[in-house]
Amino acid sequence: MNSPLLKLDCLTKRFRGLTAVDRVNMTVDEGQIVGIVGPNGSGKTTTFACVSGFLRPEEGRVIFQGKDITGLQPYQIARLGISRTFQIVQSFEELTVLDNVVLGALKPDEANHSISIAEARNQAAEIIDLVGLASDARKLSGSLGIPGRKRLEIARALATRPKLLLLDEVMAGLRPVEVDQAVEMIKTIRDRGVTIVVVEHLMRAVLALSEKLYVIHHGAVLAQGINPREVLGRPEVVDAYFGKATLDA
Amino acid sequence: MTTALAIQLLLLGLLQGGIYALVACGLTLIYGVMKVVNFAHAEFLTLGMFLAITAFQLFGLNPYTAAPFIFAIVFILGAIAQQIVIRPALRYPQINQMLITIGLSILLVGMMQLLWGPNNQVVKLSWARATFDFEIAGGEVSLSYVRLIAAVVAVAVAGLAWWILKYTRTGNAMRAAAQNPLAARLMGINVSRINLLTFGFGTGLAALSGALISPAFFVNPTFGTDYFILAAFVIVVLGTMGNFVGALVGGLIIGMAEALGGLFLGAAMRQFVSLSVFVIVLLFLPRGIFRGRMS
Amino acid sequence: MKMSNWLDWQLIVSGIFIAAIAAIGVSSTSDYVVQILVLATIYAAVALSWSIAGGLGGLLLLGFISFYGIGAYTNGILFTKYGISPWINIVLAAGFAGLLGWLIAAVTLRYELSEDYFAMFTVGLSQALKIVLLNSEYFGRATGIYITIVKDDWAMMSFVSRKPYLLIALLILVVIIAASYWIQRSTFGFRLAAVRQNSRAAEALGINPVKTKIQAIIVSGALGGSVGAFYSQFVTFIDPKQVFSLATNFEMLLGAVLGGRLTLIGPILGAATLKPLQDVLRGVFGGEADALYLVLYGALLIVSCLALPKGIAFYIEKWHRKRYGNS
Repeated sequence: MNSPLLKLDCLTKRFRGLTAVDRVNMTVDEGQIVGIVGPNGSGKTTTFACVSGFLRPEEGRVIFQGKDITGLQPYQIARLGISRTFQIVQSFEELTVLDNVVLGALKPDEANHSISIAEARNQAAEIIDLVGLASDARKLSGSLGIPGRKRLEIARALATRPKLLLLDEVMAGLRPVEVDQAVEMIKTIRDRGVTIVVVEHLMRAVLALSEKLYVIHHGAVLAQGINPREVLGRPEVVDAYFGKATLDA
Repeated sequence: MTTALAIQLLLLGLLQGGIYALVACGLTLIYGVMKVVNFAHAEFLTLGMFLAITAFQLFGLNPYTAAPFIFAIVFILGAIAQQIVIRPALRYPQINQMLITIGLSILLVGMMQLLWGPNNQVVKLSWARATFDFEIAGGEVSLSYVRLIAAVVAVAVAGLAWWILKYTRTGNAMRAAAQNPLAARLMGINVSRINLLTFGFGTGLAALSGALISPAFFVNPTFGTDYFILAAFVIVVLGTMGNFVGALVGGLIIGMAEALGGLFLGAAMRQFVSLSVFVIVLLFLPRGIFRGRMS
Repeated sequence: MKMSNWLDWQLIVSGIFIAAIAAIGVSSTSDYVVQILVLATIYAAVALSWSIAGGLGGLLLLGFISFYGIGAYTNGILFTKYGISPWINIVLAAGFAGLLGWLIAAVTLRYELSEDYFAMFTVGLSQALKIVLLNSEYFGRATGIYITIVKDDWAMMSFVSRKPYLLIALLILVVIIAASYWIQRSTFGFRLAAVRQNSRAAEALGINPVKTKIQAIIVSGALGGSVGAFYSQFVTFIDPKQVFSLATNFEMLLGAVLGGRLTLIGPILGAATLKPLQDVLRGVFGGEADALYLVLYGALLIVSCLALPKGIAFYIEKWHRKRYGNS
């Protein structure tokens, strides 16, 4: 059996008395789409931050492709092949949509080599087509609406040619028809050879995408399994979301 | 170098420090609340000195009587400047803000030169040269009354200002705005009004300091920039930007440090002491000797 | 090279501008006019140098004059004491200034100092350097350094007439324009823009923000230093108060900010118009009525910073966008 692409080993992150991530163990195999769900504030985004280097965990390790990457700088981790989107969309307001994605394509590899700008432009154009932003390519990214910005986030992350893509609540604020489009897009991305971990609130998307599901509550893994529907139906999971009253009812 | 002389220099340093403290308190207050580095701060000090001269020459008021009025006048002028010049700048990138306060500084120097001329002037107080003498360590120490009074009043006013910040509603509103303007707004604090009051108050303190020291110096429009602005910035950084108590303590420290510098390196190197402290603090103690802001 | 590309357009216009200055200068019969043109060119060159770190990099590099002064003294000392040609000194000055830039950047960026601190540190450092030089025997103390020009000597960049200096100044400006142009088209330029706009998001794209900022400061500093070296050769007399002057520092920055610090043409435009304007104002209002000049200048500073926060070039770019569609 192949070793997993990403492995979280007893990952723990504390903020002055609050344990935001509590001894989380997680594995993600290459080519999978793994879903992470959990009530608000349960530590999902913090986990992403630890994996991508924006936060340093107190305990535990993050192992990527067999290599311990815990505590590396975010830019180093990005160069190794992990890309993420941010919960609050981050963009480069003064750049056009195209240039935003070009920036992603210019991401250097571990040896700090970048492709040429011309080549980056080609790759960016292709990705912009993929996410459906072709008609907005020359507009300033600040002029896009929320769905457009989300697509841009994904496009930019995708342009970095990641091995592992972390998507943080990309469905938030999308209308149902847009959600379905997003689900299809994410599957297409996976088909291109990118392993994806999705943090989501929207159950519909989670059920449609996840081949493996983790439920996080109070920073710890509450439940996990390869059948999302079954996992979500477990009593402890229902309890976490809705409280004991519903269980007894 | 006798012990007595050394003590005299150190005491003078302490007195100078008291004045520095008051000037720095105003500067740090403005930075703490508005996050604006007021490059024009020294000009308000100079303005205070000129107003003291006019009060003396036109109305025969000594600077100490005139001081509250000078404070009030500059408070209003500062508030006006804030409304017209600073407030619109707050939306802009920092480099613009800095250049704007620099522009204000140039403008004020020009205006003072227009109103009072470029030449040196002074408040000719009859007892300006009187000194308070006492014996110590086998020698005599001589402290100018003017400086003594100035330092004492300055520290007292700084203490009063600290009390206002800590125990009055407006003062607390200022501290709230300093910590988190958005949250302050959400709590119903009128941050625009607070900014107005803060800038007026801060510049008023600078002018007050100027009035207090006016009998001891010859003033010209660039007095503030020549002798005070550097120390003020060093103190603000040393005492942690935005920290009021830090500015007070920092002022005294720098006053003494300059005196020591003058002692060992000669009078010309006093500015060098401030600058060295500045560079060293920024390199090794970037957050200043205190933690946090507005404590 | 297309006119429809904003950057290319700026390059072309800058080229025309420089050719015009050269033509006016060479054909002029007034030494005074040539003098103004040289100084305007020097200011434009410094403003453009600064704009790489301060504009494209978004760094609050407020005390830029340190590099200029170091450059000036590099040539001053090496020329007068060791007879080294200014042509070489200009390059050496770039080296020393770049080194200073590296020191400043490496030291301040380690602490993740806030921008305000960084700004004040650079200002403080410039005045510290001034005081050190004022007290240094080797560097001439307050008396400064005098460069004597007896006859024309191209190898030693010495000329009796002012005109050759104008051509050399324009040459230096051309080099700096080329540098800015190249940077804005390169991966480095992309990285600068990213770090400037959103440092965190840039990190997520594999960009090392600290290293990028250090590089920007070194480049800006080196270019600024080289201009300073030329300046000393041109004015033939330098002292610490002159070449480390905060007033001069802010004048140069003002040109870049008012012109539009994110652009190629902005700093050139801003500095080149501001410097002569200043000198004319000073000429009209100077002397006894210096006060009026200060009031007007201060007011101008304030009003233009408020009215044109992004600089004049911003509006030129908008016009260009409308005229040519998108780049």
